[in-house]
Amino acid sequence: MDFETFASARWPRLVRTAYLLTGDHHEAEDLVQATLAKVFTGWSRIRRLDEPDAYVHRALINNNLSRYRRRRVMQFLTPVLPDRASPESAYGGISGIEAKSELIRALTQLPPRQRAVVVLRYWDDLSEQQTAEALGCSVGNVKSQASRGLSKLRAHPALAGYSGGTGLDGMDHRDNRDNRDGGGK
Amino acid sequence: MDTEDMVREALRAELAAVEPGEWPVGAMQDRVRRRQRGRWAVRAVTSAAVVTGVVLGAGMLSTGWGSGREQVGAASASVLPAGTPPAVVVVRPGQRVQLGQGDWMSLTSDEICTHIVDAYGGGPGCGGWSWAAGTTGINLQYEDGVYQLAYYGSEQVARLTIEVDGTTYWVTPVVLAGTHSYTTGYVRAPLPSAARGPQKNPPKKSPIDGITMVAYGAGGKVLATSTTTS
Repeated sequence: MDFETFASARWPRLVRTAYLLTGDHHEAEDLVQATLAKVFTGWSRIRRLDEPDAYVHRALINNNLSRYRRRRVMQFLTPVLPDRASPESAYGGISGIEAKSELIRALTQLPPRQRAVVVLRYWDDLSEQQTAEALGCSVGNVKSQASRGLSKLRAHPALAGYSGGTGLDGMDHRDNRDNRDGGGK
Repeated sequence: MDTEDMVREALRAELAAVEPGEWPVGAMQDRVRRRQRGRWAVRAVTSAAVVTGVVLGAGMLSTGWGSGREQVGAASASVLPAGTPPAVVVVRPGQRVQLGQGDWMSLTSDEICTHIVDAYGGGPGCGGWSWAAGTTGINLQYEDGVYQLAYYGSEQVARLTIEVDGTTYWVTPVVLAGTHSYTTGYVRAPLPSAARGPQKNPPKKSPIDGITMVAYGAGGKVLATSTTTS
């Protein structure tokens, strides 16, 4: 498969993943473009991998974590939430995206590695093992981060509309006050 | 519904309304061009550049070119750098060699894998570099301030140098324990002056044109040399 065919087919899905990671539509497209530009330079090798998609996932996650560390972007982590946009704009295309939904705000309040675990596990449907490989950490770390992330999201108003909330998913919910980026290899 | 399913459902509902723009071909091409300015590899230089020669005295090179081939880079390869050459670093397969500023490389029997922080961030990834088995030659790649050389052949390398804009730099040789099938090396050095500053988009030639690389064996014997060209 040539690079353009591969990249154009993955573009929408990658942008959506990046949107959950960054909380911003323009930042998401920029992140995916930067990641694919890097993939392009090694495409002759990457195309021969058993799972080029796994490689691109890793690159996307690492690129985002690297950007976060470098810039320490705080604009989406502000404790004072901006006024909520109307429901129509909040869920309807780019203008809605800019207004940011409750869920996106909830996600962006998670530490970046925890957010990445939640996105990879529950949006991209990666297994714990695949998520661990994408993040370069242990499966135990993925379980722990997922547990903490879910615990925070469960208590967030963003999920109030999703019934149930009995919540317990069989995981160890320790120390959900810990807001540090506790990832590691 | 447990929390995992709630989150799944919420994420899907959230993203159902998100419509990414079209695949941005033009923007991607621009990015690739910008990125290529910072990463150049010269991998086509092969056995045509392999020579035999001996370093005579302190810093002067006399070349006894094998088979009368063109003396690629001979004039500019004639001066050795000042100072003590770095010792050869011997590593185990997969062991990371720190290149400075967080960059690293690791070696296997047939591949050099290089991790540049700017490209891979905090992740474990690295980009591979290999060559056809059984060939002999020397080549060079550059990324974000780091030059890497690879001499591949049966001879044992004692020293490596590159010359940029008339200044010659020692390159730290790195070999894999138990094999002499290749020697790599690294050095942080500036790009040629012609490659700095604004360039045409896309540049007409590689910014690492005109760099001379030399691999020396024991006693100053020149095992291979070449000068990069687009």
